[in-house]
Amino acid sequence: MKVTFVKEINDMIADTIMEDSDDEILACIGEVGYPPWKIVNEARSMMLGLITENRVSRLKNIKASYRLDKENRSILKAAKLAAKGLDEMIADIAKAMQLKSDEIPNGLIVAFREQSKQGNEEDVRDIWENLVSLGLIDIQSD
Amino acid sequence: MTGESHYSIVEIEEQVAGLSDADIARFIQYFELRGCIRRLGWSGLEHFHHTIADVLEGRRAWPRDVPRSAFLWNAGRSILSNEAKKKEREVEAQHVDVDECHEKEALQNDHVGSLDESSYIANSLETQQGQELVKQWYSQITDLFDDDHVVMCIIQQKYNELKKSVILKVCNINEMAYQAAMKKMKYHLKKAFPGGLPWWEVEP
Repeated sequence: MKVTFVKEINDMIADTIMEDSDDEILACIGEVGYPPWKIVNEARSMMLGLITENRVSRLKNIKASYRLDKENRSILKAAKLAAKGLDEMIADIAKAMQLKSDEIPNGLIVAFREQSKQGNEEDVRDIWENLVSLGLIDIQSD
Repeated sequence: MTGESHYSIVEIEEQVAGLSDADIARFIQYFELRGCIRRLGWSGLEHFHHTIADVLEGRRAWPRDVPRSAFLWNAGRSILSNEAKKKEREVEAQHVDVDECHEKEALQNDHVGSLDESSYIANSLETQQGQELVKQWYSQITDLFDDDHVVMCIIQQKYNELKKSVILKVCNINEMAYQAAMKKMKYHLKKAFPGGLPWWEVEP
């Protein structure tokens, strides 16, 4: 049995397809041994569909990972907020006023002065949270 | 693996999306010629689908210096070869199961040799048919080149499964004449057998 010979001849025929120019291939589409246009178009749609699926799935993963990261951050933030005592918050606010006085809204400075005299923890916490949200107190660095 | 030397998954998607109609047709035709239908039960289109899906998974590292068509063809060849081996293993496992089952049956019926004999006859018939087919193809091929003694000589020696270095000596030709003859052979063979020669039909 000369299968090796037949294989070699078949490989030679297959190799010619690789050597043919794009124009030659396009001119032969639909002829004997070549796929018809219907199949080529079907292959293209399927290929673009797979790429779209790939992109959608990647985007979903990125979004899920972003959401998870955001949730973790807010859990961390909540934990830090809960852990802060009145004295620590006052110290943070005083530090921010000292270092970033130009950036702190005047209303907040006045409110802080008043609330800190009264020692009302809830009001001080409001001011502290406002300064955190303005980025003037960095809770990540704690 | 990504970065400087390899494409990222986003770049792989761009590369795949850049396949032309000619690339797609070439791929489908090439793998149908390579027997994806008979060997795997996949059409050329299905083989294309499996290859693209595999490449888009991004597990095959794609070096930037490897052109799109070369990378996809290699992926296609590797999938064809791996899947064909997997199928062969499955078929072998099934045969072992069937043989064991028949052996038990034969032992119970006290005629062990009967099955071996019938499968031997079936195999030799297949082999005979295969040999006839190969002879028929050989004759069709030689008819194409009966006016060119160099090509005829190369074909005869290839049929005898001789190596290229020996063919050059036997046919008394140099490398250049060999390449010219091969080019002529490819051109005429493709015209005569646009669907290729299904060697898997004659493999024992």
